[in-house]
Amino acid sequence: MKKLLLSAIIVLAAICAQAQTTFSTNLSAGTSLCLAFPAQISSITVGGTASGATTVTLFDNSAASSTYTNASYTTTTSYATNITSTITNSAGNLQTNTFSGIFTTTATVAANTNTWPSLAVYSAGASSISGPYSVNLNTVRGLAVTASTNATLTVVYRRLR
Amino acid sequence: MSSATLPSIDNQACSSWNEVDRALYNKLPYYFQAKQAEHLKTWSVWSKLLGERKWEANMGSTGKVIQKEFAPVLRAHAFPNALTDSAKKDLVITRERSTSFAPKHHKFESPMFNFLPSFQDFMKNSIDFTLENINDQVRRFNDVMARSYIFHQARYLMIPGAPGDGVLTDAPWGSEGNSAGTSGKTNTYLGAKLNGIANVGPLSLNTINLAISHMDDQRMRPFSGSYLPNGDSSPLDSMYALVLGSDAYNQFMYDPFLLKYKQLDLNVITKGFKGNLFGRVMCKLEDMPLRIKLDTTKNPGEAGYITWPAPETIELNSSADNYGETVPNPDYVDAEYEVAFVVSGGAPYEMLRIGPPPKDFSDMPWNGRVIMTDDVNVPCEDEDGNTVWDTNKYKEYLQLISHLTTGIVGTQKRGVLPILFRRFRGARNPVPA
Repeated sequence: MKKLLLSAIIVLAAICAQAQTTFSTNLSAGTSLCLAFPAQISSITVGGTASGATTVTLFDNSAASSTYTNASYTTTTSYATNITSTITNSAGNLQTNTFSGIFTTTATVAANTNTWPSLAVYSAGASSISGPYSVNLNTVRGLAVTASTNATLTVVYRRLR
Repeated sequence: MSSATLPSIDNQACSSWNEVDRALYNKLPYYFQAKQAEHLKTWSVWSKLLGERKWEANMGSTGKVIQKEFAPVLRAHAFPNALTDSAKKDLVITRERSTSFAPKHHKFESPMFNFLPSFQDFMKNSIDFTLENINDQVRRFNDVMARSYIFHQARYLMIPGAPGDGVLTDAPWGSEGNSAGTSGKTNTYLGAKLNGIANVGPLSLNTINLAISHMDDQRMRPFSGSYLPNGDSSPLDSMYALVLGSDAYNQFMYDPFLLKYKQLDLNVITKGFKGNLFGRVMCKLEDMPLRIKLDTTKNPGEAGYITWPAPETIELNSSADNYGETVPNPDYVDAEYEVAFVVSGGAPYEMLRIGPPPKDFSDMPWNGRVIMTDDVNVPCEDEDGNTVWDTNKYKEYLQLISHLTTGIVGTQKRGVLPILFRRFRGARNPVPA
């Protein structure tokens, strides 16, 4: 019985292992596209080269770019303010009232180019390996990586679609 | 191989073995067997959670709900003067505010039914079946209408995101959405918000806890003394309602908070997860919740980047085994994001209950009831081949129609908080949808 259970666990582990894929690449300084599809990333290893220490920044993007451009949109904003009003009261006198409160209004955010929020940042010294780091990153677009200088990168992932 | 003359007489016994051709006699190519289509029935969620407001004839085109507002509490401290000094005083001024709304309507129709299929075809109940289906769609429409209004009118939007458990954002509100995604919480607004968060999180228990704190901040009170049905079969009393889809609910049993702090005897494996969270939130499952799928072929800034996939579609391959079947839409199943709603008590939104039509139009059906009519025109061709319209005087055609009058008004738009979250599914090491 125990053997059967052990066999089942080994088979299951093998199936799970098959679902994972390892991707390794040599990165040049700048932004590179590593995965062009949504993925669940479970491990990251960064290597520095003889060029020097490196820092790699991971972005959820399906293009070799660390930026995107938002279209203009309208949102809501509010701020504390006073509003003064003047009325003529029943006695015929001018009466000035100051109401203290917040003022909520719409605000237009202009189209602009933004840097994608980083998923994670890792560093490695010259000619040394940093990692593997266990992570649980779930991208919706893909994986783009910006390296400060030449580097190696190994990613273990499961493709989501 | 044997040969024989058929029919024949006086053959030698045992000289041959003859079999009648299996294709000799007539037979039915098919034997049709009817089967009632089984599908998950629509159930209403919103109409049971919200209040109700009546609207009668001769009340104009637009309604305005006027409410008294309590004066704000301004005090953090109170230090009255001694009796020997003159007393200071507080000026308390109450105000009024108003919310406008308008009754709406929508129509549903079947195509024309010709009498011939009903007379000659094997399946006899096509018209009844369609009638039942339109009824179902009308009920769903009313519920989806309420959800759409609430989503776009809500004052805030929560997007759980790393590294915290919830990001509450000021959201466009106070105007209704539209199909193009250019009004209310516009597609460009939602795209910008989702792009700005590195790892949009799931609907975790931490997120829900923060959402409840937010409702407390907003002084939105929970339901009280309500006997609305809910997933745990207990009254929705002193609790907020959480309207969510089943796969977000299914994930609660793997929630790290639950697994860390659960009672030792809480059996989430075979007993499942019950609907009460923190003693303050009661879950209410919604069929076909609101989902967003990113069109990653588009630029992240484009309006078309955000799509709202239809829950179902139809198999169109005529050689497929299930040709014509209504099936889940893969884009909906794979959608990355979903919306859940925390609903407070006190009827923050009210569904309109439209009264009967004017007396002289009392036959006008507008309460969403499906009726069968032969009051239709029939196309025919004149001698020049032009289409002209004749009356259905031979009563050869029928049509099913339904006219729904409806509407909703938000009297407290902070009373429902939408939570836009990343969908995760699966038991072991849950993965995003």
